[in-house]
Amino acid sequence: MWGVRSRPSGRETGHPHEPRRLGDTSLGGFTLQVQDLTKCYTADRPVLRGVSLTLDSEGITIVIGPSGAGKSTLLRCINRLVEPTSGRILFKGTDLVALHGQTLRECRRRIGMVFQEFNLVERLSVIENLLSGRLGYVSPWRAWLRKFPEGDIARAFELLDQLGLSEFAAKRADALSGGQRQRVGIGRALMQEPELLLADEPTSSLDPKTSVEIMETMASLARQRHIPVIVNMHDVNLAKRFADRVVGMTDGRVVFDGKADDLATEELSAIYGGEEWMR
Amino acid sequence: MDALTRRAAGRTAFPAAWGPRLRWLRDVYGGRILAVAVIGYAAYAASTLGFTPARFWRGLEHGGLFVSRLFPPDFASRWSDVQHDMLESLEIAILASVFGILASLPLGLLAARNLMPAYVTWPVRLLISVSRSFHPVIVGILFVKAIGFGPLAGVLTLAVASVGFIGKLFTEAIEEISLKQVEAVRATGASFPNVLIFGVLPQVTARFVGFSVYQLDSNLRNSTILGIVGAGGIGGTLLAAFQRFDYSIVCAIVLVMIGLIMVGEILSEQVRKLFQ
Amino acid sequence: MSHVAKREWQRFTPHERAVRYGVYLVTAIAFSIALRSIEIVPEFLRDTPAQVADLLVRMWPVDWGFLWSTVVAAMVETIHIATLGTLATLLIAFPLGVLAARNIVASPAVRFAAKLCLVASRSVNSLVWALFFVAVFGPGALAGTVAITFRSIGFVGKLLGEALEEVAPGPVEAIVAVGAPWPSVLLKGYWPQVKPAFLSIALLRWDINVRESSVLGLVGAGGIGLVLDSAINVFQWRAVAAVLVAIAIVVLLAEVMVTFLRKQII
Repeated sequence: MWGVRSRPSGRETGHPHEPRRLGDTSLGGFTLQVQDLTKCYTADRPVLRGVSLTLDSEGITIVIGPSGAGKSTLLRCINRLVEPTSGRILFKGTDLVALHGQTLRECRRRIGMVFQEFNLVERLSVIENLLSGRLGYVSPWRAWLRKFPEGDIARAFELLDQLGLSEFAAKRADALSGGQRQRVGIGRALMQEPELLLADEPTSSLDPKTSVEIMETMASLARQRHIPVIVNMHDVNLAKRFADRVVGMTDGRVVFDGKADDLATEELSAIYGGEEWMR
Repeated sequence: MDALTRRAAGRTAFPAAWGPRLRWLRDVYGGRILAVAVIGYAAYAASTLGFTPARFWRGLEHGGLFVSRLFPPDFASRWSDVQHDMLESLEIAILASVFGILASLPLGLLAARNLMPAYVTWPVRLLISVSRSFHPVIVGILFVKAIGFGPLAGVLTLAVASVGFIGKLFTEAIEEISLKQVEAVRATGASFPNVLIFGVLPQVTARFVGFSVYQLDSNLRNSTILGIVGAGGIGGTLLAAFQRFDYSIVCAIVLVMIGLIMVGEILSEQVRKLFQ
Repeated sequence: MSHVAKREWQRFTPHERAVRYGVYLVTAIAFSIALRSIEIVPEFLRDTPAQVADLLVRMWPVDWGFLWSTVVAAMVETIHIATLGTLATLLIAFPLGVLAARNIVASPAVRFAAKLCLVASRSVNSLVWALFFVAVFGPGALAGTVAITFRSIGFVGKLLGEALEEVAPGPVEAIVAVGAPWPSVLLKGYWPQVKPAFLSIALLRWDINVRESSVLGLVGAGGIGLVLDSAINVFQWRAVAAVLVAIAIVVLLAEVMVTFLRKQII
């Protein structure tokens, strides 16, 4: 099954792809290339049907689609929280699907993730949650004793300032409101100093006002650090408001890929089916 | 539905079929049937065991005489023996607890089905299960017969009991954690030990401390009686005093035991609050 | 805010740290003192695995005939001891638990007395209680049952008192406001709320008592312990194994039953 490939952007070259080594970022601009990704949980029901996607610049890409379309699976395949059945995921030249163990972890460090239900370690303090973003870089002994490098701690405090959470540094994570917790979640992902940020329905557990605040926070911080962002959501209006690029998925396939402005009634009903909900 | 509502509901109809009829009986008369059954059983068991009122009254008379011989407690004679044995019980409890707690931490993690594959969890769970199958006194006898009298048997017995108790509860606590928090830590690229330290342990540490402190308390209680079967400590002295009919010394020993256990209970409460 | 050059983060406040270190230090000291003064012969320690293996070998194969002839009857007696003891406990521990509850009894003296009884009861091990009652009632199941009762009162009473203290005041106030006499307040106000906890505690203690009853016979207080003791004294290890198997099975069945019944209550 072939999904709709992304519309050619100005920078796509016609050259056949050459394998690159880890760390080589001079790859003609492709941060992420998903090639023909398939995932089946059971043999007869694929959740992802040969999805292909290319991400080549910073900016916010928002994936929309009905429940069960495979949006969340797509994101989780990228950092291998879910194992793809087949396909390739080239992150700055390295095929993520082929990695294991230590090399996989090293790649995961470079990809930050924000979760729908925040997934903070509730019994730990806010600052510890932020510092857990650096866990890919410290030894177990240091992690146990909480002896993180001074630079990390300084950066954590700076981030807290930027997130507006300075007075909560030593508070337990479960003492915070939903919006505050998600800000910590964003902070944790950013502490990894990632080259890519994934967000799996980051606003679905939040009220409308907080959702906008969170999207603004994420967008501004990511732009500041020149990090491309891929976000999942099902709120179309929120998507139109913040997306530089929208990808629409239905039933495991990409059916739309373009600017938010191009997202009209016809395209939306192709993604979601039906028209009544749009009125 | 509580009993009042059920009875009110039940008063309206006596169902025709047997299934619902039995349930109706249970709902409306359940309490009374249970009471009758319990009393009936008690009468039956008491007669099987040979409890007659006569024995009971004779016992009470005897008891009065016995209690009078307990007091005043004799703290003076054989005090150095009592002191030495009491300290030995304390030492057994401390050593067994430390070893048991240290062993339970990794074993509990290895037995958790949400962290480890089946070929690891099965044998470890079996080990923990076997460790808690028998009363410490029985395990104590077996150790005494295997390796001889003395505190070594006591330490080993209580260490095994500790692993059985803490290990099982700790594993249950680990299997109840929220895996979402663990997933998030994994997503940062953390190594497996780091995932344990930051994702799993914060969720279970408070409970682990609670179990450990409870077990320390329990070990203290058990160490005082293991001596009865020869595994060291004050229990042996107590048994000897009983067999000599030296009841005032028995009283002294029991009072010291109670004192030690009460102190242990208070201290363990404090420590538990501390690590909350 | 960002003018602060470097901010320190400490995981614990200085006070917390001091106390935690204190506890670790005390534990370490206690451990090393205990290790040094305990009279353990190193040779015995090294010998341990071999000796334990030797004992286990002598227990195989299990003497099943012994199981049927002697063990089953003794096991039944053990269960009776445990059950009767628990039932008697419930009768006595319930009023004591009520008397110890802060929200039911106003007088601190009465509560203190009740709590003292409960603490004393559970500070003495059931085996020690058994020694007492063998001296009072003579050897046999009566001593064992009373011993179980006296030990369990403290356990059940304490947990019951805590359950009573956690009762929601609303329904109780409603019944008091109606002008009901205190037995009714207890029965209709408190009892429905603590009933699940009470049954749960009773089942838990019964489970523990089944295990405790199995050893009381070692001091002559009836049950399977007596059989175990005799078998050990004549070094009949295969018979001992039969007894252990019986105990393990009964304890397991008791646990299964308790788990099942608890689900029915909750």
